[in-house]
Amino acid sequence: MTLRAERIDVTLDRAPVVAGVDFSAHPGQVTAIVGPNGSGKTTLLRALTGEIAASGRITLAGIEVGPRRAAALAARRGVLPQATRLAFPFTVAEVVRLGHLAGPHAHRPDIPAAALARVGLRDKAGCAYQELSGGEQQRAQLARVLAQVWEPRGPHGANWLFLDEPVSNLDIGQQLAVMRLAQGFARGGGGVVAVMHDLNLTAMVADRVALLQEGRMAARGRPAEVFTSATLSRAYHCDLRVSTPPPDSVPYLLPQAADAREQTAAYDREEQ
Amino acid sequence: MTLTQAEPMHAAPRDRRATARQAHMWLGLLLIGVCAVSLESGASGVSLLGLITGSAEDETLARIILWEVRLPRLAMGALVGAALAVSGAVMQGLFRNPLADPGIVGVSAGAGLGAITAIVLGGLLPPAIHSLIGIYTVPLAAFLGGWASVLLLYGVATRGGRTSVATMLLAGIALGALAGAVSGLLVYAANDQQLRDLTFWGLGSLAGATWSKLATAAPIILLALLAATALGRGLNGLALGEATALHLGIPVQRTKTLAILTVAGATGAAVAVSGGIGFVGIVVPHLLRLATGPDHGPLLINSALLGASLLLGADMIARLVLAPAELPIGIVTAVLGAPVFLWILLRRRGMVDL
Repeated sequence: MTLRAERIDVTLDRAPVVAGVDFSAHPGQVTAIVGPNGSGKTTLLRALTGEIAASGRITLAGIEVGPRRAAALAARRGVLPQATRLAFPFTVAEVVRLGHLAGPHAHRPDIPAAALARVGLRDKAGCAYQELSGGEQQRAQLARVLAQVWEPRGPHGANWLFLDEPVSNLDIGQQLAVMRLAQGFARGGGGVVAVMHDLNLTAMVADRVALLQEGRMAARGRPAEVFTSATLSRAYHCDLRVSTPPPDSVPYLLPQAADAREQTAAYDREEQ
Repeated sequence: MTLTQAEPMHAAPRDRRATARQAHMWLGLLLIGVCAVSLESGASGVSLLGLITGSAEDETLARIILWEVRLPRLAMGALVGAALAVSGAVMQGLFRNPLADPGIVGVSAGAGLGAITAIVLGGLLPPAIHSLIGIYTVPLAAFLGGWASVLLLYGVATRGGRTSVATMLLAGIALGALAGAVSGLLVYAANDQQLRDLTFWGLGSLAGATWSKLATAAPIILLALLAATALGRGLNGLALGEATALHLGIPVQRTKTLAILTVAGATGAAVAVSGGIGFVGIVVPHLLRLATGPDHGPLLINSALLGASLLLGADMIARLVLAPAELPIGIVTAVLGAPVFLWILLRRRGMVDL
């Protein structure tokens, strides 16, 4: 049922990008992968989905993750990349249907329209995908991924969503809606693994957080455990202050502007 | 849960799937019609109708012309047209680019080099092999030439599943030039009989169609067309990118290998029997995508049907414009196709990332 990865190493162009990472995620939870730019978040996600080769062992519900099990994995897992450029003028509905036909619910013709309605693109179904804005394309792709797995739980157990920065092109309202959708999927018994950039949003919606730093796992645990001023300031190389305001005590972090100015000055001095 | 406040309930998405499937029937009828007209028309004025109704002046002659001249030419035109159009559609799906076409990016030239090599140097083959492959030597060599060209092109122009259009087109130019140069060298080495064969072959025409020639190409083309019908889902997946195709459960590597073999087989066999006939592979899939959408499932079938009709139509023009002399069909397809190619470029200008 779970996603397990042990001692993952990924080397791209002879440079190690992810090194010795242990990772696990469980159905019923939103697991976020965070870290500074270049820390290997996307690379780890691509390794976890079998898209790139990694040394180490990765299993999803006992299935060895990799190109050889592509069909078995497609039946229980959808993957949303950061951006998708289409080669041909498919309509939005046709893109969603490509995902739908790959999943186990291909016999239910109502799903593509329902998936588009979930991401708020019902009225764009007949539009050319290439003519959508970046945010709309991202939501259309999310609808494609949803249409592929659809139910949080399938005949073989939990289904999974792997999302690479699913809200990077969205406004704040859409960001919340998409993350609620992911949360709802997890509450329904499905598994969600998401690479996230916005730490406050992550603190709000994630059940578990994995913090990467230079390709290594810097911290893992609940957001309240990982998101501490000391841990985050160290990982992101800047002064961050985390507070846990009532009523729900979700960690909330604020960059410290004064220190940032000092730090910039310090960098300037170093360069001279 | 929805992301937008207002959601007008308008415009059920126009469903192009139904249109694309209906097109199978319409294009099938068109092909039958074109075949009938093509069989009826020719420099000799012989008519199938006349033969059936018994009004033909010379029944034996009419029978010979219909059976030995027009019918093999008709079958060859239909097969070659289908092969070229399907090659184009598969190649565009493989390279994720609507400008990829066996003629434009040098695959036809590579297949041509294979064919010329077989004509000129085929005699040097050990007799055992020669007697084994016999009449299939030229089409097989063309297939190998086309295959090598696609592999080379894919290796040069594609990285991580993404094709650079500029690299693809430039590599195609280089490939075409190289194949042309080596072909030229081989022509120098040819003897008189081979020169005659080469000239005949190089005309790029269906004029030399005979049943025996057809027998060498038809099995390869039919096999390639059959393989193409299995490629629809895979090429649709590749349109979303290689990684996403994998996540949709598509065997990406197998799809690519089958696509390359299909292009090489269809282009190679077509080139081997009819020389270089250009632009069918780019015009047909493009028009079909405009009319019925880019879904490769119906697109590949419709491409075969429309490609066959288009080439038969072009052949009729080639035969009738200067009758009783005839134009090389490659000229007709170029006159019809080159403007369409330019039009595609114009429409995509600013969208193509060169």
